Amino acid sequence: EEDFPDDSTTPLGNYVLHGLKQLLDAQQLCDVTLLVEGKKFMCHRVLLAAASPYFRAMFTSPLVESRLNEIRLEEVRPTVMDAVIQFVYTGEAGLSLDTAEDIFVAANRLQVMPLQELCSRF
Amino acid sequence: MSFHLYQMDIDEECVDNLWNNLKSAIHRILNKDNKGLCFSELYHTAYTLTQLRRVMKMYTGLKEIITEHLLNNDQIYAKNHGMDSVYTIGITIFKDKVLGHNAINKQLQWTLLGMIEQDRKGAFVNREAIKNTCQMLMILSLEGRSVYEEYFENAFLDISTELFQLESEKFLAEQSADKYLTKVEAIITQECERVLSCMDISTKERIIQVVEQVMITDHMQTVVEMENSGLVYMLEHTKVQDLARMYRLLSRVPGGLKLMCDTMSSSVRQRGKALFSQEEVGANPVDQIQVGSLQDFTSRRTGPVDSFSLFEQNLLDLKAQCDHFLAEAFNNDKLCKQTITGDFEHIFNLNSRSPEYLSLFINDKLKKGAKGLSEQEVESFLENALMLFKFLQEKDVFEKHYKQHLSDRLLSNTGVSDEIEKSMILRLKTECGFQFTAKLEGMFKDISVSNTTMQEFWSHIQTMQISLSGVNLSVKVLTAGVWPTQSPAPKCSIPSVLSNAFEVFGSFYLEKHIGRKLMLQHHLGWAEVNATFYGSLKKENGADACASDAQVTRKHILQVSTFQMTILMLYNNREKYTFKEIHQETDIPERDLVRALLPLFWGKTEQRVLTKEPSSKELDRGDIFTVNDEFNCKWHKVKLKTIAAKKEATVPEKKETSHRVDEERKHRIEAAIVRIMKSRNRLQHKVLVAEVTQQLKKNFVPSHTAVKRCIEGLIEKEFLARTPEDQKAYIYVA
Repeated sequence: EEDFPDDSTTPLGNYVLHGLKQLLDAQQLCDVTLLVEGKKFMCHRVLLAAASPYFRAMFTSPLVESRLNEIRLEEVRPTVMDAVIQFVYTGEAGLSLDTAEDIFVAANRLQVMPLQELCSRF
Repeated sequence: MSFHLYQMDIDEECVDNLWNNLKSAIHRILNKDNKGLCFSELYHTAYTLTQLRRVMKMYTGLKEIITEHLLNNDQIYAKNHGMDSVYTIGITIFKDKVLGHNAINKQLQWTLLGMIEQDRKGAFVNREAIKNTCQMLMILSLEGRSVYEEYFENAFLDISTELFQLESEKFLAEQSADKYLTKVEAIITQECERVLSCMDISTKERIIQVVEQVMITDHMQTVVEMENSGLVYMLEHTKVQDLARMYRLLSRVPGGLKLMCDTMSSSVRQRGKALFSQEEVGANPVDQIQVGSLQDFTSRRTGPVDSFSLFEQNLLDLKAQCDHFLAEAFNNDKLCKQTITGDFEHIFNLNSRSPEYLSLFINDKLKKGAKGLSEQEVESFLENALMLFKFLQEKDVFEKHYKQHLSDRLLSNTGVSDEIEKSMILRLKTECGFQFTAKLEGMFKDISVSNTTMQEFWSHIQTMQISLSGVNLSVKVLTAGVWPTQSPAPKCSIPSVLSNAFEVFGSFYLEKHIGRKLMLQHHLGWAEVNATFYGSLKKENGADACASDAQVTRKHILQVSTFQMTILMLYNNREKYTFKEIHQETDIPERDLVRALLPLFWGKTEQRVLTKEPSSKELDRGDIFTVNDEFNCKWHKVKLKTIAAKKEATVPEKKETSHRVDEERKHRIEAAIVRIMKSRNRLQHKVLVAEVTQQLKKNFVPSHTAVKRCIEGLIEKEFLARTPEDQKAYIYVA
């Protein structure tokens, strides 16, 4: 609880996002595990669905994924996946010349538009 | 991972497989059978297809699937649950959200009306665009046409109404009826064409209705009654084209045809009445010649005689004209036809002498005219005559006159041909039935029987070697009752040679027909006498085959009446007779004598058979008549005109005819009353009168008083009785 920022002037978006990042870091209330090449990423469905039409469709449509806790994602490498998740929870991607292209492809594929935009301007 | 894919050759089979996977998954999802379907796999497939640049394939396929699915949904679900189809929902949403927007629909309407206004002015506008918009509005109206009406048609019709109102007032102020109608017709054509190429076809009927109401109905009275160009003008100047146009336009609107017919009717009636009064001027009875007044004998002969024929001919011409209009302009319209028929009936019966005139008219043609006419012309004449006959109300009066005239034709042998006569009678028979012509046919029969009788008589004379002193007798035996009743033959002492000959015939005939009675109607007969004129040398005149001597200068056969023959025969005995002496010798009543004498001494010197002393225009009982030996004629056979040829009935004859007609009508009315009462037993006065009128209509229209009088007569004779409880009802007393 002491992790909540004191500054009540922080915009609500940042405020909420910050809270979610704290929950991720603490691995609390996570309700989905993304399995990428054997590496597990525990996340919150709500945030993924809010940030990406891809995930929204995946979690809200009545297909297999809506009932699975662990979802295997192909065609993405764990480092790239980690970058995407970090971006979603913080708005920062930490792009470098090495990673930018791969992250762009993944952002496109996973339909995280702001990230794709960010990469294309890198 | 993916950029290198662009360089790969695209394997179509692989693409198809991918798409089919996707497709079957979509179907399964739509059918709620999504067990085991994996989102990321499907997404991967779709993503790959995108990468392979097969987006269009996916789009088209997806559209198909959705359409199919939605239609399926419409059919199975929406229909059964009373819900709108997807299509309808789409349309409704478009209608409400787009068209429902005030700015949009105002603008749309304004634009459409503006374009149409331009189009009406003849400017070039994109008609296709108007048409498409109208079609859209119709589509948005779904099953009805409410949207089309609301956003376009109502306003269009309102604006058109205003426009046409203005235009028609402008045209009417400036133009004549024919031009106005031409304009209206053009507008109708233009508007129809405009609707077809710019609007929904259903507007056609409505815009036409507007034109009809505003330009025709509202102004038809004015147009029809326009002086110097309206209906009456068109009729009088035979403007068939304009009439046809007026008919076409006015028959479109309620009351239009009626208005036309009424106006036409009064015009035709007026013209008919005018014909009738033309005739009236000359119609004086010819028959006033008496001792003392001979002045205008010649002039009197022509006027009235021709007037009836002029009247009938004019009437026929008018009818022909009307028929021409009917066929060429009025499309043989039933109401127009009825109107015309009614008008002619009215005109024809305006003149109380119509029945007589018609008979005279026919007489005129059957007597002499038809000689020059071809068979076809005769046929058409008879057709016309019959047409006039149909207009006639007093057909029974016609029959009386016709009988009289037919009798004249048959007896004086002046009819053109039996064939034509019979053809006319057949027509009358077809029109009025057997009874109507029974007597006419009887007359024909008498004539043919007489011909046979005369043949038998002559062979009888030869076998028996009887002498008739050179008289070539021809007798026609007329059955009493069949022929027009004659007043008893005027007195006349027929020369004995002739009366002897007649007696011979009489005894021959009565021997064959025991119980019959023969009466000589000498005034109906005629004679041919051989006359010899000796120039100025000697005065002698022979009635029979000429006297022996060869001193003859000129020989003629004179065709004369019995009276004239009797007069001429006197001159076999003496050279001179005074009027008084002739009167005494012949016993002919003075009036008939004057008539018989006139043609003998009237006219140019060489045309006279007799000479009157003194040769004044007065006729005095002491005047002396001698044979005119200067008589000269280039024909051997001379027919002397007889005044008594009675082209028009004389006053007493007319009285007779009308009396006879009245008598006969009385019988017919009585017979009809008895017939009706016998079958109905009990009837109200009004009903009875109506039925009687109905039954007799074919022959004549009985007056109510006449029917009433007959009813009273029958009550007196105890055929009928008033019912005790109701004075206005009758019962039949058997």
